[in-house]
Amino acid sequence: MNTETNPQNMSKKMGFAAGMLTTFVLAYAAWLVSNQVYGMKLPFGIPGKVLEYPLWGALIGMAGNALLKLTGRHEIIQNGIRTELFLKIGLILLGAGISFKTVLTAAGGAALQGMVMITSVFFFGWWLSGKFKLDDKLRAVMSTALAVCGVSAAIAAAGSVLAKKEQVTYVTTLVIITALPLMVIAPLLAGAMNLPQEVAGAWFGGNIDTTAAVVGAGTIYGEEAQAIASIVKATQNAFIGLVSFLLAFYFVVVVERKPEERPSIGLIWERFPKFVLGFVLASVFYTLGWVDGGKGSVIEAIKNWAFMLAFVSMGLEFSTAELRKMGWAPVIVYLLVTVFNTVLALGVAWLIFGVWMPIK
Amino acid sequence: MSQHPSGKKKISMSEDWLSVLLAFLLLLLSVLGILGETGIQIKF
Repeated sequence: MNTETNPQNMSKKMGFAAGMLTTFVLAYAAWLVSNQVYGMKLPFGIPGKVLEYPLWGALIGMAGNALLKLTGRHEIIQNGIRTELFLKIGLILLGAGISFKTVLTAAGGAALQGMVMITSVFFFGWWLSGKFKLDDKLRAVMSTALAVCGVSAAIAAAGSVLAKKEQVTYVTTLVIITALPLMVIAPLLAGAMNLPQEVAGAWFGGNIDTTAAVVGAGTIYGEEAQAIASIVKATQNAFIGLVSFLLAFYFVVVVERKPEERPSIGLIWERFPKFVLGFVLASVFYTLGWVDGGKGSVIEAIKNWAFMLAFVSMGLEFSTAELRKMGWAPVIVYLLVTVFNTVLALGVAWLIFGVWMPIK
Repeated sequence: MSQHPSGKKKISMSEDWLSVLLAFLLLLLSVLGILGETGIQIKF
């Protein structure tokens, strides 16, 4: 028996269970609040239904986060905060309610949009962060997070360029800090511009960095926007394997000048987000009539719960501590690239989903 | 699969594949009627 690792394992398991329990309790509380507010008329005549559940999930997660930090308990539950797991389960179940024809139609435009957005945003981010004289590894992690898919892209890029852990934590913090307000502001702007559901969805999928906030913005704007935003983001996610490979190749051959350590092509599959396959397969099953994740089904309810758990987890993860450590230059770069990303994505989404390849 | 210090083989799975497994398990349970109107009802 290993006496050293067992207590550690036990405390990890307890932390995991405590984190999961906290997430579920807060998600239930957020659901209750969301249901209460839905039928209400808020001050200034704002209808309660505009405040959809992603907002309550994130806000109640953040409130729980603050309370746990104040009482010194946040560290204990960290092992049980699984934003990505809940999000991916929700996305696959979302696929079980979308016809494969819609996935194929939207994925064509999404792949085109993804290629334009990833290339433009990555190189703009790389160039601008160079002007601000940021460290090359931080530049790579930040530009990939902005260009591809937020937190998971930051982690994948960090693996490719062997970035420091604090650089990843820093970029992750920036991703969440900008994504949370965008999750609420982007649907409001889309509403003010009277954007069609599919254009708005493609815009959210192209400009908001982290997948959870993309789904949140889509949910706030409408069902069709949620579906298109998720397909666009999932397609963009699928590029992460290729981007990771190219980054690793560039760093080894050009930056570090060690061509003998070139990465293997297998890295593309290794970094490929497997949940995208699950999403596509679930959509095929739905189209064949084997599963039903459509409106009013139990799968639709579980999908919403999975997303709610992801939003609460996102709020629980929120932290600004890392920002103070690295100074303001990377924050300025990140915000400028986000503005560039938002404006460009609006134009590209409008052109592709509104003019060239409309879904209807 | 990896070797555990105790000598037993420890099964490990990435979170990505785990999400696929859990989602399809939920779909299977709904197809079998364990989840849904004839079984455990879940509302949102």
